[in-house]
Amino acid sequence: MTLIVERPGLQTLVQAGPRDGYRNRGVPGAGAADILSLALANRLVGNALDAAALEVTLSGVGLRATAPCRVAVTGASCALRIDGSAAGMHRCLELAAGQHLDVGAAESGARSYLAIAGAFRADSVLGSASTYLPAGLGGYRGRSLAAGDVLEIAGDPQADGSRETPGRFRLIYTDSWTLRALPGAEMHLLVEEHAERLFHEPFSVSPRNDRMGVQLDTQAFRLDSTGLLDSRPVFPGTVQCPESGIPFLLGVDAQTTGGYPRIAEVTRLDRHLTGQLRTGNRVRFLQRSADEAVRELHAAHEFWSEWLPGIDALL
Amino acid sequence: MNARILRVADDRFAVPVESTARGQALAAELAQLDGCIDAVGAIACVEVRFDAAATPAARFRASIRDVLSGFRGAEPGRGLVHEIPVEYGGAAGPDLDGVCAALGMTVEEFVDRHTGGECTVAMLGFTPGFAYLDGMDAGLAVPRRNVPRSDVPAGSVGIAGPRTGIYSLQGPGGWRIVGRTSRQLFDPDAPEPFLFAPGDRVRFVAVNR
Repeated sequence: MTLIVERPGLQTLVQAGPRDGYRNRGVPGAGAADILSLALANRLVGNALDAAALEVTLSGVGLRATAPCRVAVTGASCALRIDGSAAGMHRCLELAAGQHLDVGAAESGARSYLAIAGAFRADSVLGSASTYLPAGLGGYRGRSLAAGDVLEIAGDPQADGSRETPGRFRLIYTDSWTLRALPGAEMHLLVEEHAERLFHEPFSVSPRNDRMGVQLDTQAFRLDSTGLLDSRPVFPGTVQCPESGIPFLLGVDAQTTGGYPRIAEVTRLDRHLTGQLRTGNRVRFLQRSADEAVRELHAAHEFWSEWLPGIDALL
Repeated sequence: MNARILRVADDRFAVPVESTARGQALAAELAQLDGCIDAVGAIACVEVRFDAAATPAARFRASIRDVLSGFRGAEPGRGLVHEIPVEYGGAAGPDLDGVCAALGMTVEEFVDRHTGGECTVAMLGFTPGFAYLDGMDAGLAVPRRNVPRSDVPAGSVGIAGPRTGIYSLQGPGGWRIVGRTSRQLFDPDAPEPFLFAPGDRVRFVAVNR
């Protein structure tokens, strides 16, 4: 017994790496909505980069330690307090038995990640410990944490000393985002003058946003589409545009197939940013070719690998 | 098989296929490729997500081409036939009356025709275990709802165009719901979590008429 949930917050989930390989049977990958922030948190406590951690959404979480442990918080910026005293993000924090850790509301970004040395014990289903809420799979009994839940450590904590993330590896979020993207396979269904808008105009993140997808408000696009497309595969990062003309950027819990035109595809490198979008944020798409996107992916891996060896398997 | 291989994202290729069954078989083969993360068969295409960090796109495209050149088509499925009990209409099938009105037939005729033939599981997709079925009586085709429901119960039997399908989980959905089955399509704790596999056949049986 290690941590007891005192204040569960809006939605706190146990998340790890994605549940890859089952999309053909309708099972989404799930996993941390911002995989890079998950890796950064795990790094600070000596875990595998994709070890199970807490994904804390918007309103924070309050926990009480029942035994000594080491934790670290990354991702959306928030105030941390241990027994009422301020503590820092991006560093390894020691909690003594009985101490309270309060993760405050997200100030910028949407999701903070709390990792614990040794990783959280979680239900592994179809190869991943990640929670997929619609089917109640994985994580902590397939659901969001509730007050009174008892979280346990899965393995032996590594005897890593206390660390902090070097400044150049700390991400700073704003309320304005640029996501690199390729034109989607059905972008030609946008009427011509609207296709031009896709990579030029800002969108506004709608209140309709969750791990499955983010509605991007804009003046409605017009489509040359009857709405009778056959279902196509869709993935995290796919931007679908229903007949309403208001596009959806799909997230880690995205359905596996869909019948709406796919007008853009966010590059692999920028998909993790979807997990940090919050209501009212502005989003622009920056056009990339497939080859440019892969070059940028390799460059980013080279940069991040210095602090996060093995990140190229996740990001 | 000389299909076009299209790059549809920095880490994804699409291959058009002429039938859903071929797509399912092809997806199963492509899933075995080095560097493949997910191979997904849909109605008219297969898409493969590959590890673009570790596998050069040109090499992965060549691997797909090799699979296609040796691909003989769909193997016969495992041939299971499922009898699926369905409660038609009422709270279990809130769109049934509207569908019958649109089709100009009585509820009795609709149920006779929906239970009359045998459907084939074309694919699983959307959410875990959701079954897209081919082979419904063509006279029962109706479009999706204009406005999707936010909360369709698990087991709901729906129609979208020429296809009928069964919702595996509670959640949002736009198909016209004509009934509901008590059978569980997805059970993560079972040794085989998925009730159906592509190629299985399905007979609906009305339990309340």
